[in-house]
Amino acid sequence: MKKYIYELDNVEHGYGKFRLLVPELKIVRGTSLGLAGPNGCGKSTLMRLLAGLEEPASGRLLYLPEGRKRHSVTMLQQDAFLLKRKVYDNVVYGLRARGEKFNLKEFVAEALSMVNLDPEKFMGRKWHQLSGGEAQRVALAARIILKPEVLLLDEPVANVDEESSRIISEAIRTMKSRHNTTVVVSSHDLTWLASVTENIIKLSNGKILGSGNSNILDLRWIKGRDLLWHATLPGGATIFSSGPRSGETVAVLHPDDIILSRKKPAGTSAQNCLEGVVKLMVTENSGVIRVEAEVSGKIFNIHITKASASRMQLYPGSKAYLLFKATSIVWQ
Amino acid sequence: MDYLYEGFLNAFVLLFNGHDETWDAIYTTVRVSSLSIFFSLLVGLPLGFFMGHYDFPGKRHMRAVVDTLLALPTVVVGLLVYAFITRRGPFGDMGLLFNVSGIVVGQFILVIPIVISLTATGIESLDERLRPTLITLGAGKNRIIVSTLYEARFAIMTAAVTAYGRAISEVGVSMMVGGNIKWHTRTITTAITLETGKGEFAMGIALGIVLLLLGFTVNWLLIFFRKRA
Repeated sequence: MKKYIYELDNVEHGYGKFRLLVPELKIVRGTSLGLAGPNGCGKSTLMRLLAGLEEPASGRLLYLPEGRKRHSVTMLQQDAFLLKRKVYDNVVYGLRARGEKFNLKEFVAEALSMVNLDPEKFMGRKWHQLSGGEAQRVALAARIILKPEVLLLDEPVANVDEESSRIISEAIRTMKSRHNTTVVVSSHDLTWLASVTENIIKLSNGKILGSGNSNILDLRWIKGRDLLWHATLPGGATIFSSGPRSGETVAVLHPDDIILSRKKPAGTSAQNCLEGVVKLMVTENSGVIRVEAEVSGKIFNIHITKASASRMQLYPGSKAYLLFKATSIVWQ
Repeated sequence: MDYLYEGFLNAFVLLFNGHDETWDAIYTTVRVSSLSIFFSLLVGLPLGFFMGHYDFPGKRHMRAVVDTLLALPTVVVGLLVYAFITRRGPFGDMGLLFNVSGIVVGQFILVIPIVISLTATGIESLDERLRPTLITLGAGKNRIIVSTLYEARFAIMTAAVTAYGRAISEVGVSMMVGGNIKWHTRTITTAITLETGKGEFAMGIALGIVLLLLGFTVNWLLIFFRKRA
């Protein structure tokens, strides 16, 4: 069996003026991949391509169990959509489409249980008798029941409560561990995304901007009198960057390239020294701590070690200074 | 005003005593309208689905034509059908004129634009996430079509009920093509026209009450389906 389940090579696709460009992307079988980025960055377009709902305008998209199999890839779209019928009929739909006829009730009960919905209580309910979170979980159960090779989830926790979000996370982990399902999830919520996926890629304006917790500085950049460019953050603070080359439109700052300091440093070579407040500290799978700090109305991700966090006595709510060179901002 | 009061009283007598002529007109109306609706659904549903589901060149123009035909005057349809099925017409040998089958053909032409247009509207107004949902759940082409029609079932029922309302209440086609022949092609509407002309209000009122009740039932169903949709 091949290592990769998807291979994308110079894929280009879009509508109107929007263009999604994927020079290269390989998705490893049985892993979970997160897609992060703002609205309109191309997450849903990439999902639709992976789901086979659309063919790329150009480039090569290979699904590697030899051609696309209708029943091996399934996708949960943003905002749960249920068919106008009972919960049971919604969940069992895909199995019936496969021509399965036996033990359907047991399979439906199992799928509903996986999303923490009582089968006895919910099987007979109609589509309009569900809350938003319940509808999302029923829609997920309708995909889980298929035990797909690839499960694509487009913003599955965008409009659900914390409890539903936790249950969806649990269901994703179970699918991966029990059925070796490859999961691709998109979300705005980087913290949630990091908790359910092994790798995250970031998209902006239809481009993949590396992986992990890169800070996308989607700001109005102005060329200064010297060689530097500057942009103003929502709260008024200014940041500086070396200029982009022709065709480069998005500024990215890697979290490893930011230095945190509890005291305002003096006499450094870094052009950027910004005061911020720590909002969140999360231990990543790799062991590093991802610090989310709010600086002048924008959230920055910074990577530090556990030892650094302990030495600095850094906690959520702490004031800290972020230092980075103008050249640390990379243009893509 | 006594004649009206008397007419109402006699109408109830005719209805509840099972007056053969009155009930025959009711039976003919229901039979003819049901047949015309059956055939119009048989042909109109696939056409409405096609028009609502797919994009093709000239779709907008075709839709405009169908929507215009919604307001087709019944006498114009009657005239056209008459011209085609009269002895001198191209279908004269089929013996449709002054026959129940002729009325069915006329009503079919009258109501098929309603079925096509309302079905197309129902399909078009389905949630745009339906098709990708069905595809990603593994549905094949035929299942997608059946499921789409099922999702639009309330809109389709609305189309059928609206068409039925139009068929039972029309008078032009039944009069011109059916000829209002007693015990044969006389429907509620043609009977009311005739009896009123003769000054026989009782039968006219009795049939009018039945027509109103049918109309009320049709509209009640319409409200019900619209609410469900």
